[in-house]
Amino acid sequence: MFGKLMKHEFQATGRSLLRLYGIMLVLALMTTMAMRLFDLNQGWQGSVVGYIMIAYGLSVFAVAVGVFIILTLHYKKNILGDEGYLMMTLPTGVHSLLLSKLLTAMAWYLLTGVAMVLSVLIADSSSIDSAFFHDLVAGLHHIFSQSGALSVLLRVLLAMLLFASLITLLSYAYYSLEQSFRKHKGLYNFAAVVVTLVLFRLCGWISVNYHINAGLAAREVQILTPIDYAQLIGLNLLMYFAAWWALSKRLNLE
Amino acid sequence: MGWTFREDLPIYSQLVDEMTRAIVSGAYAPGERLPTVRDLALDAGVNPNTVQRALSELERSALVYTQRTAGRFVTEDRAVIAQAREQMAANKINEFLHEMDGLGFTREQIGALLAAQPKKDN
Amino acid sequence: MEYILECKALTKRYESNLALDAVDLRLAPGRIIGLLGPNGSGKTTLIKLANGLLTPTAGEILIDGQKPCAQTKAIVSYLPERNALPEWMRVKQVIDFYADFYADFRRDAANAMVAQLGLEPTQRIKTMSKGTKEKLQLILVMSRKAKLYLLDEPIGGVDPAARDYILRTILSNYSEDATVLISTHLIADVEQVLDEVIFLRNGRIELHESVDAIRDERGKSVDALFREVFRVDGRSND
Repeated sequence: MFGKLMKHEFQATGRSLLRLYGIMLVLALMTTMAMRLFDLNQGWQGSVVGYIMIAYGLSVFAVAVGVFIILTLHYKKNILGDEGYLMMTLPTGVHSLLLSKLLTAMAWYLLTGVAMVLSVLIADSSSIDSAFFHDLVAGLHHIFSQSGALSVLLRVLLAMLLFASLITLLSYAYYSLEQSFRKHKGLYNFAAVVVTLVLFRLCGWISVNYHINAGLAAREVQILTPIDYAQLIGLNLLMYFAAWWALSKRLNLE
Repeated sequence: MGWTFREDLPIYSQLVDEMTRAIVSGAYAPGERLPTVRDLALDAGVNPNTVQRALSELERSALVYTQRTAGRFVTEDRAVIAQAREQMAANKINEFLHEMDGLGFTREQIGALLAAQPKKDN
Repeated sequence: MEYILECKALTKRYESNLALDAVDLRLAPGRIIGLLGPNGSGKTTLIKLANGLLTPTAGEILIDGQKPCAQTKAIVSYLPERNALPEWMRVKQVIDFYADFYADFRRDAANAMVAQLGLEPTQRIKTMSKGTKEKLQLILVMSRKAKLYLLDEPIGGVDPAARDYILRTILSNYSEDATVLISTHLIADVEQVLDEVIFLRNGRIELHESVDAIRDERGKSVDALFREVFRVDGRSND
């Protein structure tokens, strides 16, 4: 059942997302071809290459933002719109629905990262030669030979995953709670903004205090302290629970 | 959709009348297999339970019998069919006479009117 | 006897409005039942409570003895008032969807009915007319071999030919051990298909009887009785 939910989620979201990737990759291709075909020193040719590069750059930005927007709007439409009459009467629990959507979103975020890197490689392919890969391997080797580098990398990755999951769950919770208010939508939005600001301020305050009380020297660099991870996880759980609660107990479609 | 029914009588009893008429007039021949409950329900556009109830009534009046696994059949007993036919005729005549009485006709006048009717080629 | 649907003092209150008021109801298996009432009488609320889209304010509702949950959803087939099928899907995909999630889905029956309707498997739902979408949804719902069918206003706003199609589809997919609950305010068209009727007004059950009994005892059709009971000319109905 869970696998099927994910399969359908991929199908439903893939249509828009793959088109978005497609545009970005096409522009990346155009960039690399423009770099090879045009002479940058000739006035008008240089401009053409410039415009293509700008378009490509914008498409990368569009993908980064678009992934989140597309997935969030899909959630709203699929669970809280007319399709909700179909989805919320499936023989499955709310947990499965939420988790399948969250995991699919995370997969798309990873895929987006890969697609972006790929597009950069394509766009910049004219500067890729045998030396590039040699330097890349050497660079990576250098980084990983540093003690603790791997651990830093993993922690950054973990933090990024937790953050990505948080903003996703935040939007799920926001929309799920919103639909339970037939009237007073304005009040809800106001409250949602206030609560979000208060929460993040609170977390920031806790984090700073931890830093001070842990007596960390100003020079010591910690990407994120354990308390930050705890907060990220806590906020994730809070948002998940809010979405789950709204869908289980306060569902009120149209 | 389906057959039309009167508003003031239960549908199952109207089905009974309709099917009796069909049997008596020979539309369903003696011994012929009746359509299934589902088919009749679909054809008439009525609830299958209603059809079931009507068929049970017909079974009770021996116009129809069930052979387990084979289905429902019109009785082969022509005497029963003949009797049902007589009963229907009697009902119709009573209805007719009741109406004519209400219009103020005497039996003689009714008889004269009937005699004056052009003969129907059978 | 196990009732397929049971309501015990079922109450649903929205912020300012009491949609259902301590409703007691028992539905037996194997019946086609009409849930009749004017708009706003609580019909849709009752149906949504039955398939877990709403939670009761008080009292309880049981499907085959259980509170609405994933297991009850597996035996309840629901036709919503609006089109809930994803617009981007093709006919084949939406059939696959139902087959994926519902073990009781009869794919062959669905394919046959879809073909009969003249639909191609590759057609997108987005391109279909409103009437066709409704029929497709009905086909999918009735292709499931469920224990309880909840049809919310299946014939409202449809032309007479479509109405016939819908009623015929309901009848031909009827199974003796299943119960079909049809909510509507167009009684004349469905009356001959119904075993029992429930009159719902302002969240309360005014009447729950068999169609035969109403005709027998009152000498009038359910439609006529409904018009009497729900007269809107200001005169008292007591």
